[in-house]
Amino acid sequence: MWQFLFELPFRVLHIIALAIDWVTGRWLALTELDEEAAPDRSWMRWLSLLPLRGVIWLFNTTLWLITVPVRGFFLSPANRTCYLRGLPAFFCFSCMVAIVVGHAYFRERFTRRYNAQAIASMGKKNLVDGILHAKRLVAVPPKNQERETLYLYGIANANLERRDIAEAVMAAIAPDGRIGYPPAHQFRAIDLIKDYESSPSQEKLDSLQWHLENSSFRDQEQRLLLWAKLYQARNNDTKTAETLQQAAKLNPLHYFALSELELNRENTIASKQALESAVEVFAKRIEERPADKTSRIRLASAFAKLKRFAEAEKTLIAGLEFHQDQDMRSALSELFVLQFDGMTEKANFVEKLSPLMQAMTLDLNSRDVYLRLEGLFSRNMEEPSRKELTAIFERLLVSGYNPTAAHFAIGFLAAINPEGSSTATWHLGQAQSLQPTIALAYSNLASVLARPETKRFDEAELFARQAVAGQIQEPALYVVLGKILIAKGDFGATIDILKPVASKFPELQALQETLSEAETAIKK
Amino acid sequence: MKGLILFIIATLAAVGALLLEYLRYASFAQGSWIWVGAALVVAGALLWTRRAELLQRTLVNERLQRRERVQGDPSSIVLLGVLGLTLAFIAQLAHSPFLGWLTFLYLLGMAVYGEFGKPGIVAIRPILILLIFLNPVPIACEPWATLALQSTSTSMTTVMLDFLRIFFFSEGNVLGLISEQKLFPELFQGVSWLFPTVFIVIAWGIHYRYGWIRTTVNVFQAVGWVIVGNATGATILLANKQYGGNWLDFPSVVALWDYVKFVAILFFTWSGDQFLASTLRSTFNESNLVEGQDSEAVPLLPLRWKLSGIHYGLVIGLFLVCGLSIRLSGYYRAILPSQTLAERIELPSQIDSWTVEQLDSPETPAWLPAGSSVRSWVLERDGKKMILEVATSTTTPKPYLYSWLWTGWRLEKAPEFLDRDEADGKPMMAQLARLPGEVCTVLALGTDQYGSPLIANSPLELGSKLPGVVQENLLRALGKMPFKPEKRNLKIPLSCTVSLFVVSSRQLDSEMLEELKQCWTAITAWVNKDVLELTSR
Repeated sequence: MWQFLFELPFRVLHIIALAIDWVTGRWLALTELDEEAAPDRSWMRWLSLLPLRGVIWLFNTTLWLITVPVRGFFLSPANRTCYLRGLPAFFCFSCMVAIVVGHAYFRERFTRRYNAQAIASMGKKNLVDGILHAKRLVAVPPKNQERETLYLYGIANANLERRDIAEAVMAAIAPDGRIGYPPAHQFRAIDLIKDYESSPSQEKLDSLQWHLENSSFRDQEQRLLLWAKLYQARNNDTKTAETLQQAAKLNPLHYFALSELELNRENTIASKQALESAVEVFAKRIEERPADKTSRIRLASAFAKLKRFAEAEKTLIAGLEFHQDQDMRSALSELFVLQFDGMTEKANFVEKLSPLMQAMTLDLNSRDVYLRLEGLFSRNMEEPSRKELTAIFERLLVSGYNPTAAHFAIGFLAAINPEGSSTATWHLGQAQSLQPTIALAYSNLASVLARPETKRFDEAELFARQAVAGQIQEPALYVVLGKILIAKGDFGATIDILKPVASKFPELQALQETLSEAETAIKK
Repeated sequence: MKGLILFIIATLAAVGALLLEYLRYASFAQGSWIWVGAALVVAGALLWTRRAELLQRTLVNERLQRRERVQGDPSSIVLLGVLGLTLAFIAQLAHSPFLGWLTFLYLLGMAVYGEFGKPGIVAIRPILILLIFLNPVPIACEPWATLALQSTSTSMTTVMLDFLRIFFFSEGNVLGLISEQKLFPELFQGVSWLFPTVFIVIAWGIHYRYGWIRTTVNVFQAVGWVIVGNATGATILLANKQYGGNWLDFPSVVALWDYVKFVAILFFTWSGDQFLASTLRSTFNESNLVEGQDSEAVPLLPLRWKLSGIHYGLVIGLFLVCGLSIRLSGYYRAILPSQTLAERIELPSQIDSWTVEQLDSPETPAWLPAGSSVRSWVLERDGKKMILEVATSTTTPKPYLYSWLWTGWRLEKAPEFLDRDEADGKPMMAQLARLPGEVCTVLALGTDQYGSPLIANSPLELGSKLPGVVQENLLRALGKMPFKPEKRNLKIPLSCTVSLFVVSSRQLDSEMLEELKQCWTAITAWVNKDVLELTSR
């Protein structure tokens, strides 16, 4: 009787709590289905804002935890002892139930925490942590977020260079021929375009189109570029141009690509128009923000492509007032190189040398400048010119103006003279020590050392090998190495080294000749 | 008493060999000899405490019998004897140590019944049940029961870790800490203390004469506390590691913690029993009284028999004939200590143009039974990579895919057996998947400790055309199947599982599958060669 009276208020509260839970639960369910169909009860809305189910669950648990131990006082003394012994198990059991039920209730929150952590880890470039967080999410995805979770997992794998897993994950959520998760379609489209560039096929293009159609790019520019690439792969130049035009509206940099495309289509007017548009946009940007370095460089580039070198120079020189940095100087140097390239054959040696010297002043490390200098010197091999030039560069050397270039030029000019080997070796060695990255200096040094009067083949080979290290894009350097190896009689090594390069540059006559020379020699 | 001793001798003659096998088997299955020994001692002690009651009941029984002049029924003797003989015969034929143990218990009960009658059986019935419990669950269920229990325990650990805001990742039943970027398989090698706890709970119930309802409820709550205890233990150790502790680095601390866990499990089981006894007092106490009541009023059956020396001799002779005939038919008995087998296998650096490289520090996965060892090799050719794993065990190994399922892989489709036209030794091919982009193709072949392919024992039987254990032994006894493994296609003795697998992001194409099969043929030839060489030493 006493026990009943004691428990009665708790039971009543328990029933009320359950009733509230049921009513608000129903209302929430209706709201989820159709908000308009749900009855408008502002107090319900207020109640539903509270984590009501959690509160009620906690309340009921508390009731249970209070009433059960107290019940022991209503038992007989013998049973009460038994009951008290059982309380540890009861509390432990209650805790376990509370933990399990609570976990079920807060499961979404726990998994979202993993989601946030995975994103944060990936943001911090802690990819292993990111992938481990995502792994847990994939195992227990938050409600209605299976695809998002899988996408996150795929991205984490892609960032960890586990492309195969990433591709499989993306293929699962964005399959061919079935609409899947839009960002995953985007991922697959980007992947496909890379794949297509390495091994083109019609199926890949069809697949690319499918994924592009179903993707949702936040970055519209990227979407347009991918479409442009697709159209280009399908030789649909009109569509490519249209798409690039749209992309250029988002980023004027694409005017350059558009110009190139039009130039290839022999539509010079359209090409020029594209560049004019670029000039217009970048000029406006500079007007608004004169310190905008990137726009300034691009504007100069557009001017240069339009062969308006004076304006380009003026733009960049004006830019030097804001930025005295290497980017601006390099841009200006490139401009002078372009000017040099644009000079006709009629221009004399000094006229041609002038932009190169200016370029050299601005960018000591410009490879393009050295290549052109070498070309220029090779075409002016008469003795008087050489002497005159040597004198100019010696004066430059004394004045301390660009010693690398001066050493390089003097060494090169000396190397042309059969008696100038030692001078050439010394100067080119100096150039190389001042700027070890000049592959051309190595190569020239090697040529000098390998000359018949020098015959220092071992050293020459060493420098020639240094020159070609990582320089596959410069096949001329391989010719020098090949010739040195042939001179040494090492025909096998010559063939081994030159063959892969020759297959890559079949048009390079000197390379092919050197290779065939080695092959003939080895047969003998 | 003379009759009882003679009966026990007969029993041992019939199933003694199997009992020895059982002891070896059960001890490893349970983890240690100590456990089985302790269980037998406890059972003996319980029997000893009931000796007075046994004799007293017998006297009461005899008095009542004399008063009511009830005679024994000879037909019941024949019936019980034939049943015992049949059980012993089947146990021998199936070569099942488990059935041998059950037969032993049956015959023991029969002997007690013969000597003390129904009251004797009533007195020792709980102890017999306890001893039956010593028999591990059938091999087809045990791994899956362990898997399910560990799975529940791991789930509970994940729940607790979530509440403690500890970030973790999982590979099936094994959890790891993200902060450590490492799995902790040593904490998830199967729920510990399950059998000892349940045994103690039953023994406790027998000692205090709890009714079967109370004991059953206690067994169930003990299983629950074992799961909770294991989960909490793992959580505490992981939390300690997460927050900079180093308990996990000291095996002694982990072992000590394990014992603390055991004590806690027993305490909460006892506490739970007390709570339920006070709350459900009517059910528990009524149940408690059942045995006490029947001690006063045992309904006596007229079945009471005494055998003469000739009868005993006859029974002994029958059992001996039965036991010896089966024994003489000659089973293949494997004696090689298989835990060293995998360690002794030497593969060349190149097999069939596959470069073979042994993986460093071969660690035996914790979930494999004691006495197991695993070694792995990587095989590479033209940028294609496969992994060869040879696992050997002193007991019947787990089914083929057990370790895969333990680490979270699931079957994509039903495994199939290759080369169906061969008599046996067919490798099984299975497609497994875990997380998206994780696919594994496994080719596996396992044998039990007698060299039989592990197919009938596997829960993944999948309509195998091979005969089951009983059928296979019967066929062997009748000469329809070869006894010795030398006559088999695959000559790997003892329990040994050879697996060749490829983990990839997509399902293997037909070309790669063909390569896998070819590689399998080359590899098994080498493994067989190695194993044969070792066994002939």
